[in-house]
Amino acid sequence: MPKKKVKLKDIAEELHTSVVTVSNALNGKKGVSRQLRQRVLETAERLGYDSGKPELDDSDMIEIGVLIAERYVQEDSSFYMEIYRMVAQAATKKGCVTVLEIVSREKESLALPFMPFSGADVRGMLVIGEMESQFIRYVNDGRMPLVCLDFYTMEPGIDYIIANGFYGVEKMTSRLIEAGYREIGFVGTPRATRSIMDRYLGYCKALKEHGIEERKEFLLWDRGEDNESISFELPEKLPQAFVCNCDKTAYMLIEKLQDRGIRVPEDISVVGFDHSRKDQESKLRLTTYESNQKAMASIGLNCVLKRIQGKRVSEGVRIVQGKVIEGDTDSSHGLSVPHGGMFGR
Amino acid sequence: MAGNVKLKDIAERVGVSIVTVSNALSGKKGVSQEMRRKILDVAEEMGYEFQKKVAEGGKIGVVVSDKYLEVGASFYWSMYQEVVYAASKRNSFTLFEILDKEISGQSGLPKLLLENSVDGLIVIGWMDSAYMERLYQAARVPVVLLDFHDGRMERDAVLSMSYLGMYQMTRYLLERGHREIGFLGSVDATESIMDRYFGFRKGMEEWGVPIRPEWVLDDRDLKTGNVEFSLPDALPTAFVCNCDYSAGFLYDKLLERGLRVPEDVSVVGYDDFLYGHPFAEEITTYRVDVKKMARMAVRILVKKMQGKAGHDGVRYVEGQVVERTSVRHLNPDILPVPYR
Repeated sequence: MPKKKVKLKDIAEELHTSVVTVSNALNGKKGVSRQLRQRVLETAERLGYDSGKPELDDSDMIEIGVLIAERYVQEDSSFYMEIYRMVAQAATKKGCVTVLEIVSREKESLALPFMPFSGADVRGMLVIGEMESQFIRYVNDGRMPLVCLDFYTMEPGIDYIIANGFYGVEKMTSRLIEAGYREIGFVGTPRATRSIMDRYLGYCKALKEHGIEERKEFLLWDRGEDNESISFELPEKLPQAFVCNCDKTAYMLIEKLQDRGIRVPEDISVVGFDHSRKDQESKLRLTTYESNQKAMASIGLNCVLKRIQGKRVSEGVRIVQGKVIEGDTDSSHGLSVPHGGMFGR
Repeated sequence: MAGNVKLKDIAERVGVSIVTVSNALSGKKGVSQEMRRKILDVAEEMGYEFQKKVAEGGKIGVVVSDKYLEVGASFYWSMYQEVVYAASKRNSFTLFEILDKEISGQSGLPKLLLENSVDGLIVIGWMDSAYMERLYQAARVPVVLLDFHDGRMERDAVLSMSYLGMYQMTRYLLERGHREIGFLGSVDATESIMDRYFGFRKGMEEWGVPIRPEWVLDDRDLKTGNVEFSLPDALPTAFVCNCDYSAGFLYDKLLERGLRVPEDVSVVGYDDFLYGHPFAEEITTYRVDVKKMARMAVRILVKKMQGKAGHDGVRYVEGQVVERTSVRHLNPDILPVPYR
C-alpha cells in the first residue's frame, strides 16, 4: 500500500498555519517562534513527512496576493486596475496566479480587524498604489515577501518599484525652460505623498539648474496634505506654463484655464505626469511623462516571485524609467537636443 | 557611407532573403559555405558595418579621468577595482586607460576606443557632456557610464541613490530630534551634489523644517575642485555633508573652534569612504554599494556586447545607512509629531 506523499500543505492544515511558516520552520529560517517550530517538526515527523529537499516550489501553483485600496478602484478606467491587469498577465507568463483583494478605507486605517487573503494560500504580496504607512507596517509582518508598486515608504525589508518622479518631472520642466519659458508654476501638494514631493522637487531642481528663482505664488496645491479631495483655484497672477503632478490635475487645470478664456497652449502651456488619462475625452492631448507601467508590473511580479523562491532578498527602491509623451498642450515640440542648464546638458 | 548599408541592401544585391543574409553574417547554420562566402564578400564590398557580437568574455575598456585618481585612496580607484573583479567573473578582461584631464577638455577621446581595442566601454566618473557626445559618436561599441549620467536617461548608466540616500541621512537626524540642520556641498558643482541637496531638502520639507540659507555652505572651489569653505558664526545642531571627504574637513574646522562631534555638532556624510582621517571611525554615513554598482555596470555592458536588449537607461543602486557615533540624539520631547 503506497503511502500518500505528505506535503507542506498537509502539515500547515494540521497546525492551522501557512505553508510558508511550515517551510520556514523546517528550513530553520527566521520568523518562526521556537514553540511553533517544535510543533511543526513534531507534526512533520508524526505525519511521516519526507524532507528530502526544501519544497518551496511545490507542485502547487504559487499564489500571489495583490492589495489595492478601494479608492483607486472606484474611478472609471482605474489606473491601478490597469497595472493589476499587467501584473496578472505577467503572472500567467510565469505560471503563477494572483489573488486580488480590495482594501476598504476602514481596513486600511486599521479601524476594522483585517486578515488579508484569509483562506487563500498566498506566498507573497503586492500592493498596488500608495496605502497608509501603518497599514503597510501591519501587513509587513515578516510572514511573506512584500513588494509595493508605484509608491514607497521607508520601511526596511520591502521592495518598492516606483516611477521616476524626481527625474521625470525635472525633465518635463527642463523641456519647458529650454523652449524659452521662465515663469513656470507647479500644481500639486508636496506633502500629500512621497511621490508628489519627489515630483515637486524635480521641478525645483530644474529651476535651480537653470538659475530660475522659485516663486511661492506659482505653487498651487491641488489637494489637502492628507491626499483627499482634489480641488483648487487659479491664482490672480498666472505663469507662462504649468507643470502638474499628475494628468488628472492637469486636465482639471486646463478646464479651469479655458473657463477663464485662456487658450492652451497658445497662452499658457500645461504638462502633466503619469499618462493615466489616455482615454480622456478632450480635444487636447496632454503632454506628459509616462512610466513604463508594463515594466513596473513585470519587474514587481518577478521581484515577489524571486523572493518567494528564496532567490533574492529585498532591495529597497527600484526606479523604472519612463519617457516624455508629446501632446498638444505645450509649445515646446521637437526640442530633443538639450542645451543650456548648469551641468552642460 | 559605412553604417548605412542594411541587410536588405545586401539581400537585394545577392538575390536572397534578409534572413539568409542575417544567418550568414552571424555564423548561423542553414547557409551553404558558398553562399556564406558570397554574402560576406558582397557585404564587405558594400561597406557593411559588421556589428561586433561577443560570444563570451570579451574585452572591456575602462576609462577614468586622472583628476579622480589624484587624491589619496581614490573612490574611483576602488570602483575600478570592483569593475575588474566583476569582469573577470564573467570571463572578460579589462583594459584600463587614464584620461588626461587637460586633454579631455579638447579632443582626447580614449585611445581604447579610437584603436578599436575593446568590445565595450565603461566610463567611471563624470565627464562633461560635450566630450560625452563626441565619445558616443566615435564609439562603435556599447558604453555604460558609472557614477554619472549624461542627461539622456535612455543611455545606460549606473548611479548610487544620491537623492534618496541623502534623504535617508537627513531623516536620520530629524528622527533624533534635530531641527536646526545645515547642508555642506557646492550644489552647482556636480549633479550628484545637487541631487543630494534635494534629498536633504526632501527630508526638511517633509518634516516641515525650514532650511536656513546661511547654513547651506558651498564646500569647494568650482574651478579647481579643491575643498574650501568657512564656518558661519552661528551653527546648526547638525550638518548633512554631501560626501565624507568634505565631512572630514568639517570635522577639522569644528575641532579648530573647540567644538566636539557629536556633543556640540552632529555630522552625517555620504559614501562611507574616508581614508587616512580619524573621523572615518566615527562618521555616520551612507555606504555606496560600489561592488553592486560595478557588477551591474558590467552585467549591462556584457549583455549589450552580446547583442541582447534589456530595460535600458539609468539604474540606481541602493546603499545603506551606516550608523557610527557622529550623531547626538537630542531631546525628543519638544518636537512635533514626525511626518508619517
